[in-house]
Amino acid sequence: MKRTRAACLLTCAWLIAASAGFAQTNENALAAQREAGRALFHGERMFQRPVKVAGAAMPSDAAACALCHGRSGQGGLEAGVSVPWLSEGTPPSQDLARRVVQALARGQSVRGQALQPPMPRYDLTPAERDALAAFLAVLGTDAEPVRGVDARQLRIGMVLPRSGPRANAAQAAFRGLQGQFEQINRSGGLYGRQLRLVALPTDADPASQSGPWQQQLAGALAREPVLALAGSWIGDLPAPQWQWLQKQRLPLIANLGPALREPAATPGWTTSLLPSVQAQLAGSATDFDTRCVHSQRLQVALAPVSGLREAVAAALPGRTLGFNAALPASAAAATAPAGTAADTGQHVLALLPAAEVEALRQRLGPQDCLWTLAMFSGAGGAKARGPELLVLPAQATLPLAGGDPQALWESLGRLAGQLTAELLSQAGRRVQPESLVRAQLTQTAFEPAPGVKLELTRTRRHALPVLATWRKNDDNP
Amino acid sequence: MKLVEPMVRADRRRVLGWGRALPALACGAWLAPTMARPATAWLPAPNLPDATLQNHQGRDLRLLSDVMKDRVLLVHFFYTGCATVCPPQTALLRELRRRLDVQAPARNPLFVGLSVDPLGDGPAQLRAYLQRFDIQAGREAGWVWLTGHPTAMARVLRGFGVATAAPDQHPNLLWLGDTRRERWTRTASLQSPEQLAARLAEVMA
Repeated sequence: MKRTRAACLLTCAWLIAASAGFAQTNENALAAQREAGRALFHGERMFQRPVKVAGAAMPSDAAACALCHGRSGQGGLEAGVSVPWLSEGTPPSQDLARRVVQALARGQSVRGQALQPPMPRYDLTPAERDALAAFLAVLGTDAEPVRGVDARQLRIGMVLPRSGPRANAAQAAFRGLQGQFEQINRSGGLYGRQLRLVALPTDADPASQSGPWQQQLAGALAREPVLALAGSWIGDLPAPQWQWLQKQRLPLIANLGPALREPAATPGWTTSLLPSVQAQLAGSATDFDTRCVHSQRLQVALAPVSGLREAVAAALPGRTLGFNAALPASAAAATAPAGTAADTGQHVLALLPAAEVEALRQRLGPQDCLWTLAMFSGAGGAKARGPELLVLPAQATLPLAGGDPQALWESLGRLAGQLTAELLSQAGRRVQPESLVRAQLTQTAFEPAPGVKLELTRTRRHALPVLATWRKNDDNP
Repeated sequence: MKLVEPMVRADRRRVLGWGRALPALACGAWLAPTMARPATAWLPAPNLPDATLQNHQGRDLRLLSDVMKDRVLLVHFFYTGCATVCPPQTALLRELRRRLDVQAPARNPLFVGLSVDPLGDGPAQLRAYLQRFDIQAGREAGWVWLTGHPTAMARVLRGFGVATAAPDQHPNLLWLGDTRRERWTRTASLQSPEQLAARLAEVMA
């Protein structure tokens, strides 16, 4: 009797465990279907078979449902064409979703009318049909899947170089951003979710090898989906790469990648923390002219960075620029008394590593003017004998820039984390990439710490202002 | 609840019905004279300036003397950021272009695409759009894509009756014309390649 009872109990326990496991498996399969449907709906994944309109093939990236019907399937009006509301005003349901997908397959609306251009004809695979039906059944509800977001966690990616001269700086920025997220998580996270920073390392240069860079990033995102990228090491991207990121619905928040020019991305999709080289030079040119009176003729010494020369020329129009000319030691260096006003010496813009700028300082005399950017050469080293204009991305970085360069990038990483958290909180509990874009567009000023002001406008894409400061020389005040 | 629900549904149908019908009616009213007009009743030629515009390679072209003079034309309007109407319209026109090239290369009309968003569409944007749709552009390929200075584009578009304040409200409309014989007509752009070919044949007859 006891044995029979024990056997019954064991069987019951097994059945309960098995049914729970079965339910879990079903739930996982449904979640995977919804995710696949989401990616098809938004155009992050292409339909496998050709999509046609009146027999004419459409590019695969123009066939996403959301392009015409809207992110929530709400429809709209463009060029006099009325695009219907997918749910026809009724709450989303499995039945409606099934009817919409059947309509797609038959080429007829749910009311039986033939679908006319511009509505394309889809030849869905069975898996695509199931995926779209699963997604449409929850579109616009709390159950709608959002890439990189679940009930407990919100994942943000950071693109950073795996190796190369910038890898250490990027790692320091990663530590700063991660530390900021951990601090927020200790306080309860955002809307009850923990923030998780995902490293997305690449070893391809997006400017010169856009194909491999895109493939590496796409692979990493497929393995670990994220809502957005923050503090990423993405500098100058060709226009197709910006378009690709936007098609992937990946907003870039507080980008850290040193850029030569302000990005050519659609407003709202990208915000940089640092001003570009071009913006830093243009923003400090007036300061340089106030003290270095013959600065219209400028000798320019550049690090071998692709596109740097063009960026300098674009930032300083109307000047005579002598690029990478030999810089002879100043004749006045040995004889001019310290403290003489610099109005007859050389004027040098040096965008070089710290050691080369240091050597240059030794060769310039009291009448020579030097112009440097901390993002190239830091703010340390000996003082020049003549005036030196140092350009920094922001006042907040000044105390750090003179010391450990890694500390500067860690500090910038923390700022990127603070701005990301602020924008995420503005985007709300039901966050979507588009609500983050809206938050980036409407964000004007944010002060994460006393004296550190981040400002964004529709035309200014970098949050930190340009700060130009004259390095003081004890012998040449 | 049962009493109220049908009324709500009826109201919604009425509201939605008018919401859909009004733009359609407006569009239909605009197109109806053209669609119903016999092929012999042509529209007056659009009043166009010989403006200097840029093609997808950034080359300057004068609209009348370099592009439109003595040609049978199909003129369409687009912008590269358009997500709704332009992609299917471009796909349909590309298929029409392909069929025309196969059927009657000697009498091919010239397709002319005019950007309604000259601020956003430079030659680089045009090239990217053409690459996306795998389109060969140029006069020799029978399809010229043009953008230009906003003022010049506004004058040209005004000639075709296209307002430029809001690119996303550009008409889904084609102008078909023969500049030698001064015969012009308009038709909806979202038609099948067969229907569009028939309309072009009327102009070329």
